[in-house]
Amino acid sequence: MIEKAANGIKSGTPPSYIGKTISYLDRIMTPVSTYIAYIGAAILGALVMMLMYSIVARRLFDAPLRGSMEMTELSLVLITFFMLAYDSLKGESVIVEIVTYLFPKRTKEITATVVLFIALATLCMASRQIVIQAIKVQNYGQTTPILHIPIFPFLYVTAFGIILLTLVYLKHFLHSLDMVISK
Amino acid sequence: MTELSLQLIGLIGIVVFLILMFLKMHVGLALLLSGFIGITLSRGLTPALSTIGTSIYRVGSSEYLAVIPLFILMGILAGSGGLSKNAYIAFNKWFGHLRGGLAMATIATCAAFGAVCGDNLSAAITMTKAVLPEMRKYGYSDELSLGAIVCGGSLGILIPPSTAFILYGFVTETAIGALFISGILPGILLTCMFLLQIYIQCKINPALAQKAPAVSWKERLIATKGIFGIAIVFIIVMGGLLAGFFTPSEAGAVGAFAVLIVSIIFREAELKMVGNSLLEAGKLTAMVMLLIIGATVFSFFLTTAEMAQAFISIIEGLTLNRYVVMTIILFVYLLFGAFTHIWAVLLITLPIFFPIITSLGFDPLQFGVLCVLTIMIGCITPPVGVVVFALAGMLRNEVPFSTIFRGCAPFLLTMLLCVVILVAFPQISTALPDLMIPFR
Repeated sequence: MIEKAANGIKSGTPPSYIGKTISYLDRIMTPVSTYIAYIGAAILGALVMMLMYSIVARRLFDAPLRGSMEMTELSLVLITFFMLAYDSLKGESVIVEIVTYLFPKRTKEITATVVLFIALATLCMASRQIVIQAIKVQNYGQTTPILHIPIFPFLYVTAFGIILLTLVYLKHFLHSLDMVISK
Repeated sequence: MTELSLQLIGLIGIVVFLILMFLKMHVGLALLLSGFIGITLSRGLTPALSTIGTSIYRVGSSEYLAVIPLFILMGILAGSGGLSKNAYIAFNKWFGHLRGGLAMATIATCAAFGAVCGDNLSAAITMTKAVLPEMRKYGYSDELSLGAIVCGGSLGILIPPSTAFILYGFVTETAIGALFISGILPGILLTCMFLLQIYIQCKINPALAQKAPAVSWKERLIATKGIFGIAIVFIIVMGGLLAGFFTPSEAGAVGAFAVLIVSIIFREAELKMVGNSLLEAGKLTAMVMLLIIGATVFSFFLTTAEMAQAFISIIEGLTLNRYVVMTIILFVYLLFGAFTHIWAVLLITLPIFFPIITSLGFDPLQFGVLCVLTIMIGCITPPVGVVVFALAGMLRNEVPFSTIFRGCAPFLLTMLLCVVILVAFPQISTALPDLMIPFR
């Protein structure tokens, strides 16, 4: 769709409203998702080093790293939710194609659009709930038991990751919708 | 709610999930949505919304699941760090001079690589790059070469550490250490069966493979150092884990770090390779975590709808022999394995099948090995076989699907025979864990 919008501009045909929205989303989503994915990858590297340090400190110097379990848990939150949108943007997903593979092309496109809309609605609902949860935890002032790190920022990271994924799905949906209505 | 209506709700949830999944919705989101609908029907909208809000963060911050990115990273680093290539050179020197020897070396390398990489697809892709050109050079048929690569790659998921066992342990609350050990003997058994099968195949049809030139014993012994890297990493990770020296998450970190050090020693490590591996591991982690989030909500719904108990009652009512039930369940795994990823199959089915299996008196470890092995068979079974499709895509369709499937056929029969042996002799899966973890 992005290519199509660009072609439209080249050939003098104005890109559709949907095409413009996709281009706009793409301009924002791609760099944001990529940069935060790099941060997620760096956190994974840091997690490996922290766990190595934790073992050496505990076993060789009898000085266990305080709260290493908490930091592992919080790192997993950051790795997962910083990577979600990037993963989907790169087209990586666990899907089953065995039935839709048999559909005629047009039916396949319409089905894909409907399914993407349902997935988008699901993600919107999940985003809303995780934001509500984050606000709730912030109000309670919940912290981790050993290092007393506030948990709510990590819930906001979770919400951010899910919202970003929702936007990626919005892009996929608009792309699919445009293909359906442009025929 | 009456019991009947709960079961009906349970069935509605399962049907909704199957429809969404077969209409190509992301499996994780399909599980999340059908679980949400099911909980709404059985408990009401507020508990359903609350479950979504709490499950996402709870799964994302699970210490148990922190092992996933670490073991995935270990496997990716091992694949790109030259460990498989060096092991292949070593096994090649030992087996290469036999007819079909390069295929045997491929199987042995896959088994060794499986000791550091827990994913069948990664193993198959890594091995294709490393060994296919060499096998073609010596006139091996694509059928035998790709059959050995695809099926040998599956060993990675059986031989510890395996991401499939981690997920199995997460869903069924079985100890990861015990699960890892339970895969060792079945992995060795299947490797030996594959080697014997290749030997017989090449004896019957010598045109399948040529002999590579034999090398001296000195050369073989020198080449053996290529296996040391994998052996050292495996011993450190599994030894440390079993001796209680470190936790499973720490074992994953130690494994990734050790693989990196070995790659540096072999002069295969580059900064870019490490960066790409971290990114790839993070991406796969996000993929599996989205599945687990969906599966957690769906599993909660199945529990509230008392579906496992309902299925157990039905099976008890039918008074079927427990081996018949096991066969039916394994057949379902084979079917599911044929069209979707092993992670998804385990997360979708275990909340229902595991209680049934344990109620019939089967050992959780034996079932873990059997279901993983059967899903592996499904991954390479025609007409879909996800691993075969992925490999054909990687080869840019220069080899037809039918050739790869034909090459897999003898290996599939060997794997099915292995399943029968493992069902008949549960000790193969349970003896080592019993010996090493007496009070498991």
